[in-house]
Amino acid sequence: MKGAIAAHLERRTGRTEALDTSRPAGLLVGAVVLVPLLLVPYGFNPYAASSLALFLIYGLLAMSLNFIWGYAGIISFGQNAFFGVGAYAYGIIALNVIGPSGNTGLAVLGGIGTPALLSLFFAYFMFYGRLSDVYASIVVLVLSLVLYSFAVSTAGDEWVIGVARLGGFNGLFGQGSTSGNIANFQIPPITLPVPGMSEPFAFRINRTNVSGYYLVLGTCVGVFLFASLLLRTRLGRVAVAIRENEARAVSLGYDIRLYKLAMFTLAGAMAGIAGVLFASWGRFVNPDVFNLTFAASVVVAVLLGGRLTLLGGFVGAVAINYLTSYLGGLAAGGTGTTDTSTLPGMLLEIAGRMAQQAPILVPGVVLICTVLILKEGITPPLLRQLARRPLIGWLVLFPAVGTFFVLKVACRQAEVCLF
Amino acid sequence: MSDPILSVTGLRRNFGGLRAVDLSLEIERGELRCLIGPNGAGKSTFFKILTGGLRPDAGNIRFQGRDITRLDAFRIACLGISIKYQVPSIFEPLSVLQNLHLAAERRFGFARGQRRARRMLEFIGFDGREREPAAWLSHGEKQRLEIGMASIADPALILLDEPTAGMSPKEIDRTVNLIEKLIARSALIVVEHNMDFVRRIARGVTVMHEGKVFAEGTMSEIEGDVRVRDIYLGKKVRGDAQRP
Amino acid sequence: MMPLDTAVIVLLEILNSATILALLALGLAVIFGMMRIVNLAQGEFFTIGAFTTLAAVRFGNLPLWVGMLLAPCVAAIVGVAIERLVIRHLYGRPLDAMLATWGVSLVLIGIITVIFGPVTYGLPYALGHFTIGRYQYAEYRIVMSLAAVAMMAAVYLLFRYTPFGRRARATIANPEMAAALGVNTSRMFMLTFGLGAALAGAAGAILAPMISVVPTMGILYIARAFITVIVGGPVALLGTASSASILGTIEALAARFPLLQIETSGFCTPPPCTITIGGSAFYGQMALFLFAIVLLRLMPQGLTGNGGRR
Repeated sequence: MKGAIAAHLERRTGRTEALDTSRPAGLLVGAVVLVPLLLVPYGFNPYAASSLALFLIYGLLAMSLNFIWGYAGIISFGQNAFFGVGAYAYGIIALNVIGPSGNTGLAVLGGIGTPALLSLFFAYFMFYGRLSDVYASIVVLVLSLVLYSFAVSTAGDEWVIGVARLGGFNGLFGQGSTSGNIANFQIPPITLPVPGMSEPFAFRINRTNVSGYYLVLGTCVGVFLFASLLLRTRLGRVAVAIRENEARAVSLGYDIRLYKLAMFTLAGAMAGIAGVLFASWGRFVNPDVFNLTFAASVVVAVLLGGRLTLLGGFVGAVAINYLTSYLGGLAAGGTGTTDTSTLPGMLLEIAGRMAQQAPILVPGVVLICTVLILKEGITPPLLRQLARRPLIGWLVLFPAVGTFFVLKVACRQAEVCLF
Repeated sequence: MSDPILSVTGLRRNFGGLRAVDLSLEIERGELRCLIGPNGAGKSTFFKILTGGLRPDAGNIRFQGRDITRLDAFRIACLGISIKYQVPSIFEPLSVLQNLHLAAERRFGFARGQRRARRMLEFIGFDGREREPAAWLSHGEKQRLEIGMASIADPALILLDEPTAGMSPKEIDRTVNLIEKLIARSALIVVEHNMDFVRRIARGVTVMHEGKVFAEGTMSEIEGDVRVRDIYLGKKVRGDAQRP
Repeated sequence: MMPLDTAVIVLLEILNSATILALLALGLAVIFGMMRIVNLAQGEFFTIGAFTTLAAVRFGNLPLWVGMLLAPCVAAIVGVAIERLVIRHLYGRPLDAMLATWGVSLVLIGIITVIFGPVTYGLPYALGHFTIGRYQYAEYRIVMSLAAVAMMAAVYLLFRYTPFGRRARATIANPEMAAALGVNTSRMFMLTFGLGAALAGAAGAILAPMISVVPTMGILYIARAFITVIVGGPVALLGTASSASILGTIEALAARFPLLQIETSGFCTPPPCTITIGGSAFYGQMALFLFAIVLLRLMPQGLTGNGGRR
């Protein structure tokens, strides 16, 4: 069925690699997206840069799912588990191994390595056990749910690793003893020594320093380029072969279990990178990274964006988080204050409560609609139009992005933003 | 010299109470063996067991002197048994060249695989069409592409399951030529229902019936065999031998 | 040697774990076993069952048993509506169907939260306790086990001996042939899905007095339900029953007996700080999960599969 969709795509485009983002059209799309992103901290306030950085982190997580789903046809509904494990691992190591101003290199490595190992472990059981696709996707989701119950159950004082307090729902904090009292401190941000610089690089997003934003953006671009390159090696070609026709890939002599294992482990590491950035961004992580809603939002992002391009999940994640936070902002108007005895008041109250539930309702509705109506997601049709009519594409897309950007800056300045 | 490339002894596989395959068989180096028999005779099941897609209940398969009975499917392919399936099994959205390259790359690496793929392109008559998605090909062309994919890595044994199904007479001529060329490098086992085609390529013929080897011999011997006529050839030779 | 009363209690706890797993998995197994649809919204049918009972008792002032009878009806109505609106369009697309049911699950959680608020409710304990040696045990748990057995028997009889069951099995075996013989297959799928929803609703109602009722409660139970169904394998009822008993044993034992203690560097009052591995409900679930993963490595088709033979 997947093969049929892709074949249909090819028939419509008349090109074999029309969706390849490393082609000139793809590079230009990249430039159109990247330039405004580079400028964001200058156009907006630090708050905008900070929330955009978070969306980009979610985008990176979605890309890790995109990588295995879109290319190898492996579906993991619990990719957030590796993200969460990465965030916790980074936090625990960073709290323990260094002081407040030191180098967090080891924590970064641990935050990427731990989820990579975990995904390797699961990949072994899933692919070498020949678990069917449907079961495999659920096993990872169940992993995420089990980790959720575990993380929630660690609220007690005894759940301490070194100085890191797991803290259950309250999230991960460090604890130190000052004159007999317990003092909590937050997860340190990423701090890395840079050769040739006297000051180490430190993750910051505030009024004077937006280094963290650029680290996130740079990591996203780096991981994207690395993944694109990787997909042009034999690994990527065989992955596509497995997606399209597993039996044929086997009878050509490829050990598909090994290739799936490699893809899945790499995706786990990518999710771990996103997790490390997340822990460093908020200096905080709690069991919510393992919950079902978050798991769904990753899948939704990839579905909405379109899974056949590596950037699809990225676009979807940014879009869906923007929508959710926009609706959430509407809900901040408050519920419970309206008079529910009249019909309009009642409706207002319901609307307010629904807006409050946006983080769960939006992914839900988008999931159903994408599956029923928008089967390919939004990115593939867009890219296809660009590949077919580049000129019109540029005449529409460039000005549209530009206008949005200018309007956004202008309305921020005037403080009358409607979107 | 009498060392066979493939020797199958006492191979058995049941489905429920049905004995789907129960046979012994030997294929010499450079041999072309046609495997015929009515539907449900166990030909495709036999191919599945040979390529590791199904485990046999009993018996033993030796390939180039090595026991491959319980090896994983991909290892058997690496040792040099390749297959063209009954229903075309190719990578539809990939281009013709990419399909061939994937088949060659495992053994020859990227660059040599590329050269091999281009040579094979010419060999199977797709020159100038390498960028076309495989999904665009006609049924017969897909079959030919798959034969190309099955033979590109110089396997010692090629299994062809109904290579002419859905082909026009002209395409069948082409496939006959192709097989004549392949036989120089590999041994072949061909399952076919098209008796004209079998007559044109066959050296040795094995008739399967209800999972067992029913008769073996040259094509004329087989066609002369009354028992074979009864179970199979009787209706097929007179009518159009093609399956719908 | 374990004292007799402890041994009896452990046996009862194993029975209880197996009961809960069977209750959770039954509806899922019917939908998956019969329709090949992985229904991720199953946990929400369970939630709907629990909330229907709660609403009937708390806001409708009805007796508990009336609420419990209403629960499967409401869940079935919601299930049938969802099948008609969404699932119907997705037969033959198992992956899309799974994704859509996930969307349905999220939307249902959202709607239940909008109606009842993100609040934890509780139902009053039904029945009393009896005493075994040094332990007390809730009588209601025994009733739960009986209800689970009754439900499984009812499902078995329904599919084995009624005209509906015959038509449903024919539809599952070969939809085209069944349609050619005059079975309204679309209606069969709808009713089967409704039945699966009703079973989950009934499970929610039966378990409601024992657990806290929250809009997100389905999530807590769906994982165990899926593990039970996956481990059970392709034969719906037999698989569910056997995997529920095996996994229930593992879960109850791990939840009962502490395995080891680890000292940590926290600031506990009174010191020292120790983490106990095993001996709580969470470790029961953890053991269940790990056991299931290893079992599936050995038997990818589940307990009632053919042992992974190719």
